[in-house]
Amino acid sequence: MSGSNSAKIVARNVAAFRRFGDQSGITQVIAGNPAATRLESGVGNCFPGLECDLRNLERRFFPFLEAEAIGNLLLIVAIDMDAVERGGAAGSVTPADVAVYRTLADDVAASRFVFVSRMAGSFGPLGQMAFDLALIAMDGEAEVQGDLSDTSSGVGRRPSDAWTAIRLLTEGIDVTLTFRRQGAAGARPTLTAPRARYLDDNGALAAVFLPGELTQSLCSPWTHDFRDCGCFYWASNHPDIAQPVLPSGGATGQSWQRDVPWERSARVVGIQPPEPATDTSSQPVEMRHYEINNRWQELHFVLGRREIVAPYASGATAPGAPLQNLNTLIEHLRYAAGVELAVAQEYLCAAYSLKPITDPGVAGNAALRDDIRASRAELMRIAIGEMRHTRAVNDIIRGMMPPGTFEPALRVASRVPGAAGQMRDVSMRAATKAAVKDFIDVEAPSAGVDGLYSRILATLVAPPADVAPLATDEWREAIRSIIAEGEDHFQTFLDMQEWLQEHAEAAYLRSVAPARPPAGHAAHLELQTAYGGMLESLRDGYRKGRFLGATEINAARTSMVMPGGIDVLADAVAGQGFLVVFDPPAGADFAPLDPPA
Amino acid sequence: MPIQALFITPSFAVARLGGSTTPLHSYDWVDSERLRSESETDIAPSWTLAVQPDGSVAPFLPTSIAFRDGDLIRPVAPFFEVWARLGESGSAPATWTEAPLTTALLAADGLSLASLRVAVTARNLKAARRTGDPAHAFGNWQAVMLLGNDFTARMVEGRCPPSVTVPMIPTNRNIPLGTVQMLRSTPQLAGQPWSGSVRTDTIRFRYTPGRGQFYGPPEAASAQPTLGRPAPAVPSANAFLDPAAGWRGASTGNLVQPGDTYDLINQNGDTDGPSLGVVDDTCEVHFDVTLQISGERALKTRAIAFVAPPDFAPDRRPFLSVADEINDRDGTAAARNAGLTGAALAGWVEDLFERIYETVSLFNVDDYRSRRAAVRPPPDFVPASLPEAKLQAIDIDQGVRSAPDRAMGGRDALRSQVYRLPAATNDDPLPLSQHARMRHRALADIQNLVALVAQDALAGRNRVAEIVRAPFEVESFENAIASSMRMPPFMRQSNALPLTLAAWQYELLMRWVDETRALTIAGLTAALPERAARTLSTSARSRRRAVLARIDAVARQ
Repeated sequence: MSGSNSAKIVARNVAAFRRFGDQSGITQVIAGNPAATRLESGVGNCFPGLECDLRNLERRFFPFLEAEAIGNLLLIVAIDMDAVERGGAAGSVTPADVAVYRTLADDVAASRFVFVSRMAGSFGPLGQMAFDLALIAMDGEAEVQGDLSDTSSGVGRRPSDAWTAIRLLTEGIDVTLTFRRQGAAGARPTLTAPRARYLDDNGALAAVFLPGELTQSLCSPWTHDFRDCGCFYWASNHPDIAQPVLPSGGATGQSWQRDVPWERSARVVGIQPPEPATDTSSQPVEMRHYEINNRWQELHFVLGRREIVAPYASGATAPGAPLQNLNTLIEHLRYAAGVELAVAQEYLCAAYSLKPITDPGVAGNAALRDDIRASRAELMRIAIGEMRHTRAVNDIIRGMMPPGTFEPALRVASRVPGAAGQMRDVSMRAATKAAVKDFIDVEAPSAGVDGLYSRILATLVAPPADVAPLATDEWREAIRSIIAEGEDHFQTFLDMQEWLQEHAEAAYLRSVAPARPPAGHAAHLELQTAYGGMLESLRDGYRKGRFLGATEINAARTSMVMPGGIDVLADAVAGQGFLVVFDPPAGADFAPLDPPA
Repeated sequence: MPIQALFITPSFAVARLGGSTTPLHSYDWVDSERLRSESETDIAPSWTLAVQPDGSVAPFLPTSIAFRDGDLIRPVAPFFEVWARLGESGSAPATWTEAPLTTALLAADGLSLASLRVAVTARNLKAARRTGDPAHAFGNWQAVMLLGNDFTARMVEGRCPPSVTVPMIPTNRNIPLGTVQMLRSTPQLAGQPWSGSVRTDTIRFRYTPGRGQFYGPPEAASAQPTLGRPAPAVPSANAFLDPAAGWRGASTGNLVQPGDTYDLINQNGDTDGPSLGVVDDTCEVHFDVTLQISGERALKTRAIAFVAPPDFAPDRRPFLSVADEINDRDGTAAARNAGLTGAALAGWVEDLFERIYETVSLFNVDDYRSRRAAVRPPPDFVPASLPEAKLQAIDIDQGVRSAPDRAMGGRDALRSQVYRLPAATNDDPLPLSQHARMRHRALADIQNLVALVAQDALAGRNRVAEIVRAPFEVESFENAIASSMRMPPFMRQSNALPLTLAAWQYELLMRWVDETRALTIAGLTAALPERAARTLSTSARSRRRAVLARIDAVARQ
C-alpha cells in the first residue's frame, strides 16, 4: 500500500499515472520514498538536465523511426523494420507505408542521408500548421534554410526550431512527414501517423525506449556541468546562492544573513562568514572542474535558504493561544491593521529623516552614502510591505463579517507591541539608533507584531464555534504570509542596525531630533492633504472589496510611491528640517485606535 | 478475484547518489508550520522502511532527516511496489480493481513468489552518445534477475558490451552501478502506529544507486595545473579505464547539445576538445517484472529509475519539473486541464507561484541579469540596449542602476512602475535577487496575485499576460545568450532558448487570469455601466474609470 497523501503533491502536476482505474489516489506517496524520488523534484527543462534529458523522447516521436534534431535539420537515423513488418502483417501499417519505411531503411543502412523536409501536424498551442525544415546541400541542390527562424513570436508564429516543432506535437494527432533522401532528389515520399505515445497505459516509459536512452546526453561526468552550467535553471535543487552554515558557537552579526555562493571552494565553517555573492559570476570562487569530482559531497544541503550540516528537524512553532470568539478576533484584526499603519508611518518618518545623498557631508563618503541609500530603500520597502499587510487584514475582516456590515480598518494604532511583548507608544522620530532598535523589537519573532498575529493564526487554525465556518485556508495562508514577511523585516532591521552602527547619528540624519512642522506649515499641509486622500482611497477601495475596489487601492498605493506623489511631498517637508508625520484625517474612520483590552 | 494485470508504482523514480551506506530516510513536502518560515513549503519525516537482514522492512518514523553521515552524503534509494489488477476472467478491464501484490494474493491464484521475477538492466550511454560508438556504453549486459523468493541484495556491475575488442572497462574490472533487492513481504500487523500508512505485506523491491564515484584512464588520476586540471579527476584506485578504447581523446559530436559537458584533457582549450576519458557511475535502470501465470501466460510490467545528483535544496520545488514536462507531452493534457476549475484551479495557481518563489529564493538574479539581459539584436550581441520599442522614456531607477537600457533596467518597459530598484552596495550586493524574493514571496499568496490581476484589469492592462512568456516564445531580439525580462527571466529551456512554462501550465494560468479579470470587470461593469462605446487611449480610459469609480463610491456613502 502506498503511504499518505502529501499536501504539496497537486493532482494536476502528477505525471506518469495509470490511464485506468481510480485516479483519486494519484497524489499518494510511496511508503519509504522521500520526495526527492519524485519526478516533481527534478528540473524539467533539460540542457541537458540532471535527472534525465527528456529531449530524447522526441527522438521517437514518429512510429518506428529514430530521428535526431540538429538545429533546423531533422535527420532520420534508424528505422525499426522488424516492428514495421509486424505492423504490416497485423494490418496496422498499410503496404504503401511499409514500402516507404523499407526505402528509408535501405537508405540509412547504406549511410545515405534521410532528412525530413516538411512537417504538417498539430503543434499544441501553435495549432495546425505545415512548414519546411532545413536541408543540407546535396545531390547538386543548394542548402535549404527552411521556414523556421530560431524565433517564435507574434500571431501565427511557427516553432523556433526543429526540436521545438517535434516537442509541441500533440500526442495521438496525425503528423505528416515528407522525406528528402540523399541520391533521390526527385522523390518526396511521405508518411502519416499519430504522434507516438511516450508512456504506456501503466504510466511507465514505452517499451520502445532502451535502457540509458533518456540519460545518454547528460554530462559525463555529471559534475562537469554541475560546476559550470550556464543554463540558470537549477536553483531548486542546485542553489546559486544561500545563507551560509551558522558556526557551532552561534552567529553574531548580520553578515551571516547574506547570500553566499553555494558551490564555493572555500568550505570551512569558521567564525567569519564566507564572502557574499555578488552580481558577477561566482565561478572564480567555486570548485573547479576535476576538483568537484573529489569534493562534491562537501556541498551543503540547504533548508529554508540556510545551509545546514546537522540533521534537519522542521521545528514547528508552538501556536499562540486562540482568541475566544469572532468578535474578539475581529477586534484583534482591526488592531493588527492599525499596527501595520502605525509602523508604516514610523518607518516612513525614519526614511525621510535620512540625509539625501547629495548632502555635502555624505557625497564624499562612499560607505556612508551607501549605508544611507540602503537604509532608505529598505525602510521604504518595508513600509510598503506593511501597507500590503493592511490590505490583507482588511480582506480577512471583510471575509469574516456578514455581508454589508464591513467597515475598513484604517485607524492607526496608538500603541504597538515592542520588546518582549511590552506595549509602547507610537513615536514619530528620526532613524536614530534607538529608533532602529525599536523597529527590531516590533518585528522580532514571537514578540511584537508576531505575537499578535500568532494568536490570530491560532484562532483560525483552532477556531471557536463562531469562527469555524469562516476560517478558510485562504485566510490562514494570508496570515502565515504576513508572519513570514515579518522575518524579512526583522532581519532587514538587524542589517540596518549594523549599517548605521559605525556612523554618528549626526552624520547620517538631517537632524537627530527634528521638530514636527509648525501649525500652518505649507509643505506639511500639502502632505497631509495627499495622505488624507490616500487613506480615503484605501477606505473606498476596501469598502468595495477585492475586485471592485482595486482601482482605489491601486491609486492609493501609486500615490505613495510614484514620482510626484507623497514621496515628493514628504521629501519637501524633510528638506526643510522637519519630521515627516502623518496626522489622522478627520472622522471616526481614521481616529487613533487603542490595543484590545 | 484472479490477477489480470500488473503495474509498478512508482513507474518512474529518481535515485540520487551518495557515498554513505545508509540510504536517506523518507520525508514529505508539507506546509510549513514554522511561523517565521520564509516559504510555504517545508519537509517533514515520513514513514521510513528499514530493510532488515532477512529482507523484510520495518517501518519507523524518524524525528529528523540526516542528509549525510560524516563526510558522506546519504543516497536516495527508491522502493518500487508491485500491484495487481483483479477481475473475473473475461471481464472488462474497466471493472478491474487494484490491490498491492502480496503472497496471499499470489496464493489465491495458485502462485508463489517463485512465479515473480524482476529483470534489472542498467546502462550509462553518455560516452557512447558523444563518440557515436556503442563500444563506449557500459552496464550489465545480462539482466540481473531477481527472483520473488530471493531476498539477497544483488550488485549491478557496469561492464562494456561483451563483443567489444578493446573494452573501455577492462574485462577483469567493473564499475558498480548500485544494488537491487527483492524485499520480503511479511504479514500486515494491525494496531501499529504505521498500520494505516504502510503495508509490509506488499511485494516490493529497492534500488540503491552507486556511490558517486568517477573513473578514468591512468592520467586522470594526476593533476595537470597547466592544462586547467588543478586536482586529479579520479582517485588512483579508479584510474583503470583503457585509454586506447576511444573515449579518451574523443571530441564530442554535434548530436549532444550542449557539447561542452565532459571532462577534457585540456580544460584551458576548446570546450569540446579531446576528452580525458572520465565516466561516472550514474545510469538509467529498467526493471521488467514478469509474473508467470502459467506455462503460456505471463503478465509483464516495467518501471524506470534515473540515477541523479542529490537534491541539495530538498524543500524547494522547481516550477517546471520533470513531471510537468512529461505532462506537456501527454495526450491527456487537454482533458486534465479542462477538469481543473474553480477553487481547484486557484489552488493550482497558488501552488505554481509557491514553486516559483521556491526557485527564485535560491536564484542569483543579479548575476544572470548581468550576463543574459537582452542585448542589441544579432549580429551585434553587444550588451547595450533592448530594441527601442521595448524601452520607455524615463529611467524609473533614476540613474542609480547600471545599464538602464538592458532587460530589467530602469528603462525596460516591462518593469513595474511601482518599484524603484536600488543599486548594489556592499551591504546589499544583490538587490535584484532580494526584490525578486520579496515580490514572489508576496505573489505566492493568492490574495496578492488576485490583487495584482484585478488592479491591472481596472487599469486596462494585463501585466501577467505581458510579462509571462508564452510557451516556446522567442522574440526577434532574443537568442540562446540573451533574453528580455519576460518571466521566467534569463533562464533557458531544453534547447537553450528562453525558458517558458509548459503549454498546459501556461493555459491554466492564463485561464485563471482571464477569469479573475472577468470577475473584476464584471463587478465594475455592474457598478459603472458603460453607456456608449468610445475610442479612448489606455491612459484616458483607465483614468476615467478610476475617477468614475471614486465618484460613485463617494456618492454611495
